[in-house]
Amino acid sequence: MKIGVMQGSLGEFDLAEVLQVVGLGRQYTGVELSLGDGHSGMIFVKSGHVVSASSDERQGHDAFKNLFRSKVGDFFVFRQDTPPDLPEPLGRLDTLLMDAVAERSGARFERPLEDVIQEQPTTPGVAPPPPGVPVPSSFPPPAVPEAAPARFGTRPPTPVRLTGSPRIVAFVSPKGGSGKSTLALNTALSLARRGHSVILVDGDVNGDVLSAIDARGRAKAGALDIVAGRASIAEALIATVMPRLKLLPAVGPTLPDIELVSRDPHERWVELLGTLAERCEVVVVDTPAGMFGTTRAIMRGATHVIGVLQAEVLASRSFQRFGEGLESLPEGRRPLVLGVALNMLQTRHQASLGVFQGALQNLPAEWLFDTTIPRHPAFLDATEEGVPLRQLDEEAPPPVAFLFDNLAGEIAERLELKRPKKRAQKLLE
Amino acid sequence: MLTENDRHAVRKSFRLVVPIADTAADLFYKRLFELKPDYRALFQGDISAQKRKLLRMLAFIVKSLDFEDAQWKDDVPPEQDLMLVVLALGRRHTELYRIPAESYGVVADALLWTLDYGLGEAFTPEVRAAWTRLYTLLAATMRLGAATVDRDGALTGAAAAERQGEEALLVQLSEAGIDEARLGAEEPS
Repeated sequence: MKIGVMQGSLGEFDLAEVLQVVGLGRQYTGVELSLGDGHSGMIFVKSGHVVSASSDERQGHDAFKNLFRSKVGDFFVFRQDTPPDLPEPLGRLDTLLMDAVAERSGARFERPLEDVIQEQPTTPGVAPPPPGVPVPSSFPPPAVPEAAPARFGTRPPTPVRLTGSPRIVAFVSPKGGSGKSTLALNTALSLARRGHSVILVDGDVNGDVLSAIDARGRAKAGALDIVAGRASIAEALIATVMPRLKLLPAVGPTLPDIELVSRDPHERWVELLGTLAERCEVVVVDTPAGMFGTTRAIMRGATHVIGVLQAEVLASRSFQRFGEGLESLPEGRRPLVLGVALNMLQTRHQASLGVFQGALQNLPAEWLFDTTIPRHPAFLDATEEGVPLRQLDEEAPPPVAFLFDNLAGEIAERLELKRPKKRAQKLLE
Repeated sequence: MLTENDRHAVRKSFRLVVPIADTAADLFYKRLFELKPDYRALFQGDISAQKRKLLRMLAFIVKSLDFEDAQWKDDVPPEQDLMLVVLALGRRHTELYRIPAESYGVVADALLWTLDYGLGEAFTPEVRAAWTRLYTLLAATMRLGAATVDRDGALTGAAAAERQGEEALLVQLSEAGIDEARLGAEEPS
């Protein structure tokens, strides 16, 4: 007996998405399809295995792939008793799905994340790190002789960019909760206040930038929709009350295509960020936690990265990934390290100060910004109000808000941004 | 796409969560309300019952992923089927609790933050990627809960879904080795 489970339109729920959901179940489950081109088909799944597939005159693998040719139609999912004579399955659902989706999109599916993580730069003429000289396995790393090459093997942060060349700055951190979104938002605002045109891009599917300003409902589309080819920049870009600051949210009202999250379409990110950089002086990008996945795609398109180091022991231990993540990018796609911003410093807490001291001793001296950001209740107040720190009180912002002006000043200097016109004002008329 | 390696990584890392389950649940809600203070109003009264529900659901999800490939032909009762239970959970969230769709992203953030904080160095990029993919898939399943149909004894309405979900999860805490007593007193229903 057929027992209905769910039904809907393929326009609303993609077939790959429906099948992945069905793959979670252990029931003998049928997916009946009526495609928009008048054809129909059926796929049976059990415990993540495709038992059978039929489509018009086709059977098996051929039928399975054939059912992905149309994105228009309806699906009906039902379960029924497992037949006693269950045949050998066609294969694992995840494998068949990856093949079918890759064929539909005409592109090879990205390698699994674990392979990407192992990737080493392969640029001709660039030797891999010699054996026995690995990147540090812990942070703070052990002291090294002065003559040793720059830690993590990254290039020194001496950005040499011609005026007018793109400036795409990604805020990255190996650890979640380190304050990337807060830093990206408030720094972007301060850069705009200094007179630079800025586009702030939220690259994290969680959409923390809009959450911070309580504006998730304002997003019609986002960067991930553009990367997926289902929205334009014009549709997604949001103007702010600051004339020089625009926001590009991560996503629109709905979560992006589930395939997209795991595929990391690197080149589309590169293209998107490059296009945005033509429309402003600085593109600031907030990235998801971690140095791989989407962050990696964004870093490939960025000209510079700012590492966000939370002044907390766990964060410092995972910060080694910052160097490793950069190191694993191919030479031609590796952004410059603009600096490392120490965040959430607690000067009355020894462990927090220890992280600061460790960073001073062990990171390349030029990496650390002079400005450090303390842990401060004003951040919670700003989040509650849904405003950037500086906007918490227009007349009298909390003093900590001014630190972002300092940080933005350092960033502008390191990026060699053309200084806005000076407006000196005499005290006496 | 949830791979076999992802399932393994999720199972293995969850074993490390079990001994600190009560703390993890505290951290999760602390982080959630830090990210979205207005969500506190969605949970009436004491949070203990909600913590218990969260851990039951997590334990159930992880246990459901724990089967060998060779066992694919084995049957599982519908009330213990991960797809059906999560579809029902999604339906409850939409129809009973009126949870906003945007909350999926916030919950993901809080969950990953909690795992990161709780697991420390064991929360490697691979483990993070596995949990992210699992959560994304579960969120998609919950969204599809709105598409469930009422036919021939299938889930009939949100209240039935509530019963089905709760019954399926009752035994999960003890099976996962989580000490329920540490989660605070059960709220009178």
